[in-house]
Amino acid sequence: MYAYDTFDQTFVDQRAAEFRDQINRRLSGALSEDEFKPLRLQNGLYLQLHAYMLRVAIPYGVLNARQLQMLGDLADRYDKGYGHFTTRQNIQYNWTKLSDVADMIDALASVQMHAIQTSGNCIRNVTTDAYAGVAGDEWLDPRPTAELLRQWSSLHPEFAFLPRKFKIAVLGAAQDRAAMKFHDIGLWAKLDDAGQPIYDIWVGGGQGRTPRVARLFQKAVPLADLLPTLDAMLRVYNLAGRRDNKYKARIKILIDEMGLEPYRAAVAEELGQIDRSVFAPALGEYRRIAAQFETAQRPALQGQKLPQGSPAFQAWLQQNGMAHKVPGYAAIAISLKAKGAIPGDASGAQMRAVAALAERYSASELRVSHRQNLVLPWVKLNDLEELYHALLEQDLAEANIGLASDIIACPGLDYCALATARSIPVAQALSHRLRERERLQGPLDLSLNISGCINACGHHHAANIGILGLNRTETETYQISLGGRADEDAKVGDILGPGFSQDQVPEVIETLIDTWQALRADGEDFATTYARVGKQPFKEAVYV
Amino acid sequence: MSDTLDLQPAEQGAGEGWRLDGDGSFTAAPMPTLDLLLEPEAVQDLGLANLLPLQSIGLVFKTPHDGRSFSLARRLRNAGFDGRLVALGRLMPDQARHAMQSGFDGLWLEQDLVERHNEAAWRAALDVVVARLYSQQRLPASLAGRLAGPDIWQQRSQGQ
Amino acid sequence: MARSASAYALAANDLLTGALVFWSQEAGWCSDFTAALFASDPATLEPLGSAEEAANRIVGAALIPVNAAHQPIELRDQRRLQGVTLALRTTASESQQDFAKAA
Ligand code: SF4
Repeated sequence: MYAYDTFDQTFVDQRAAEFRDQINRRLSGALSEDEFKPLRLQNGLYLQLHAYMLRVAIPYGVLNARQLQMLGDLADRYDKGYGHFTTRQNIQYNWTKLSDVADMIDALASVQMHAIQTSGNCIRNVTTDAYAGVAGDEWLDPRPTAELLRQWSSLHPEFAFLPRKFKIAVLGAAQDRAAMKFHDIGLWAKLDDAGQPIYDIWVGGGQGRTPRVARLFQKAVPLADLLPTLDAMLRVYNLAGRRDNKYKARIKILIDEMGLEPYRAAVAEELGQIDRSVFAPALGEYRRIAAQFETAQRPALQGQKLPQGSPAFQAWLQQNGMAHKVPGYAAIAISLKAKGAIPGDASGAQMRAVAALAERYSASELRVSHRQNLVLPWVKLNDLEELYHALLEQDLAEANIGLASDIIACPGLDYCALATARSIPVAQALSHRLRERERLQGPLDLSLNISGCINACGHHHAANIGILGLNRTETETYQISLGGRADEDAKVGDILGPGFSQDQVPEVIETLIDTWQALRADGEDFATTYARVGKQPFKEAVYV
Repeated sequence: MSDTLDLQPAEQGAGEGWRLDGDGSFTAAPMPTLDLLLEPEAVQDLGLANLLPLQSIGLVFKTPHDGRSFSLARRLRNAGFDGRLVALGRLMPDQARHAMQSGFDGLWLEQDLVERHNEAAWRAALDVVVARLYSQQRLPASLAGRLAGPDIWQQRSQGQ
Repeated sequence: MARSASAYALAANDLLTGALVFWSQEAGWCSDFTAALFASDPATLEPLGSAEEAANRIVGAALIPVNAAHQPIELRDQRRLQGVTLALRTTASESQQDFAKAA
């Protein structure tokens, strides 16, 4: 893992002091709310329906046990005893007080964490594959690139007041487990013939009101050109992106309106002006960061064997385990989607329990996935059964990773000031039904995501079955879309038809699943069946 | 791009105000004499090359939410503009750092804005900020004090 | 303004705590909606909201249109007044038991 040196520590300490000063000036009235808003957002602080919400960054989803323990402590001390892991590898506290926030940020800084740029019209927390560094299909660990980008983008003076938020994801494996193509910029890292990092740069992806799958901007950009290219891409966007309408301000709209080719030309012209010497230290910095991740990697282990265990253990391992790059280990996901649970929520006690398990079984390391679950990346095969029983004791051994009941849901109208409908109660009702169905029928291979408004934080566009909560004449109505996917074959789902009431949703979803099961070829997942048969049979089944 | 660019000198001495310089000093001063005062939209029309020979340019921030002038400052510096670059308009003390680190020499602020945030906040504008970035693009030579000096990556690479 | 509104209440978040508060009949902020001041003319409440924001006591002042029974008309206000509509913590116990049975 990456550990802070004194430069990093001074950086977050100074930022914490700066935000404390800003909060004090807000309380004294020296800063109006209009002025304070972009400042607090850049420090992760929102004002929601019932309270302030603090969003803490978990850069590229990597945590150590001590950090997770602190997150649990903060939940108990400053929130109502829980936190919510988000689809962008952050954690949110829903019940914070403005008067406590500076102390929370100090506490985070004490464990090398922060809330920098988890919101606001700036470059957000850089995300990646939750299995980075351990996935069997990985050709380059994306974390050093993500950390380099974290450092480069943190408090970037020029890109702190962009037309709109800017999200970057980095991948280094064959499979996209980070919804890379739904980011403003996606980097797909590979190795060139000499074994050096090169990046395919994708641009203009995003969800929200106008969902777009990112387009290929440039192939095989060498590491030395990466930051100058991003710098030029961001500058063109900052100057040309629309500021007259916040729904048209993301880079995806700029690319739509300007065209990819003219955008490329503008970036090339900008790049011609850049003083590249500024970015020269980035190469050495990348090596310094990469070395830290490399030394944390573990050598292959002899004498490790997959245990037999009970059928329940086998089912759990099958569903929540992932083949490891290093012989002798497995990566184990911990589902935060138990039957009826609030997707992504974990109590302070659970966070501390998982931290203790990470310490004992996973070299003190953890990950947060974009599907709102946790991952123990370094579990010895011989320890698997013991871990399973320890998780069972903590109610954390739900075996449903990647299944229908592994629902992504945003906070929706229970918390969010922008919401048009609730999403959590819908997720909970569905979770009961689908988990029961999985118990009776076995794994349901599909993704189901729910958003409480068109902003799509719940990634409904990118789900095999997406649910979008809307307000139709002051009634919560749910629009369903089908066939979306967030992987390397990313696709925006098709809207099925008129929406449904909250009560109708579980029945409708079950009908859709029945239809898929009747139509599927042997072993076919939902996305494949849908791609083959299209929307019509589902429509006919639902709108009888 | 026009080669018959008619540069209108900005209205001089139009108001009382304050200047914040790159060393953090904050002094009462009339509006500076500038060769050109520009809003972000206008720069695109004028063309960068026409601006390079000027001695001094003021870039206007219409609201604190609009960061275009930060990028314009950087674009001007990248293109080789080495005259005086002044940020004017609706900035907050918290953005003084952004301005200097994007290539401005200083800020000029109208009296009402100084009062609005308290003079003390402006005086402290460069004190309570993260002064040292990981990667800092070229700073104006006029910058001194906390914001000047090598960035973190440079310091690390030099083993400091 | 909302159609069919009989009256309006003034809501905001408390600046310090972020808690949902209402302008009360006692001319202060309260957390009990039934104690809120209901005014038929929104113009009587709007300047109050601005003044209270300027005094740094609250943030996000907004009117809540209500019907004759002083119930909010808009969905967002209804949910907001209801508070979080779910049990805050759930455990996996129930589910684990089901799966243990299945195993
Ligand atoms: S999708 Fe909408 S309701 Fe859900 S968290 Fe995002 S903004 Fe809020």
